[in-house]
Amino acid sequence: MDMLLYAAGFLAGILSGMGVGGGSLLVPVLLAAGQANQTTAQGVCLASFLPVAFAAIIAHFRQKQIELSFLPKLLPWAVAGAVLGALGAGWLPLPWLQGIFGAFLCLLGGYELLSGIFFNAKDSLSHPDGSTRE
Amino acid sequence: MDRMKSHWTSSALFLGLTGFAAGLANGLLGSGGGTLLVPVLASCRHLEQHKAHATTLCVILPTAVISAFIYAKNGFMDWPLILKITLSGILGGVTGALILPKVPTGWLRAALGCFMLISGGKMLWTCFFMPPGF
Repeated sequence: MDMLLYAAGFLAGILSGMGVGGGSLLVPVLLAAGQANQTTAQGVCLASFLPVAFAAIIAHFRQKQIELSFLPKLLPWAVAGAVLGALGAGWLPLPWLQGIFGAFLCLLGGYELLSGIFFNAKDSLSHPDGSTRE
Repeated sequence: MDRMKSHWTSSALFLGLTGFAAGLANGLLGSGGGTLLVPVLASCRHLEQHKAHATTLCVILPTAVISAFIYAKNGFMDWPLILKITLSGILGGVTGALILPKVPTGWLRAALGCFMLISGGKMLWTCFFMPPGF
């Protein structure tokens, strides 16, 4: 069972490194493996995101890729949303939270599927070398 | 119509609302906030993909820190599980960054989109049809 967990983490890490959310893979796998319930699976996503994101931000900052002028307009709202959301995750009954997560996953999945299909054509124009970012 | 739309999506209010939605998603569902924010910054604010990605990380990391803190207070953090996933996730992230130029990202995103639609649909189904107490 541990091997499955390590494999799930490894795959999610690969996806995050590509800019595709690892959580969308991690939460369903952890649930299916019976290793976590909805809230603890989401907690795993949050916690495992922190060190990777921290390292990535330092790298992006050195490359001057962070648009600092946007941060004051975004951060206060985002933090307010996060507090409300995290409190809501503790307050909502688990099946409800799972239903909302499922609906959100369907929406994002549809978006990923469509943009993935249209991505090849668009991206080969803007990045002739085949790279996507960085 | 088109002009009105572009005016609205480039307003500070729209940016703030998107930030709020991203924070809310990240707090309530543990992930997914960045997936909302990157396309908005890229298409409505005309940031290039790398900058949109880097700026989004800068917004999402603080929301993840606050959400993780609230999750921990609620007892949603399974630290041994988090350790396993984080360690393998870091390995996966490095691997992903190395193999990124060689991977057909479009098809990968399409495949992940399919996985998200299936697992999201399954979670919705569970939410509506599982007996209470699940």
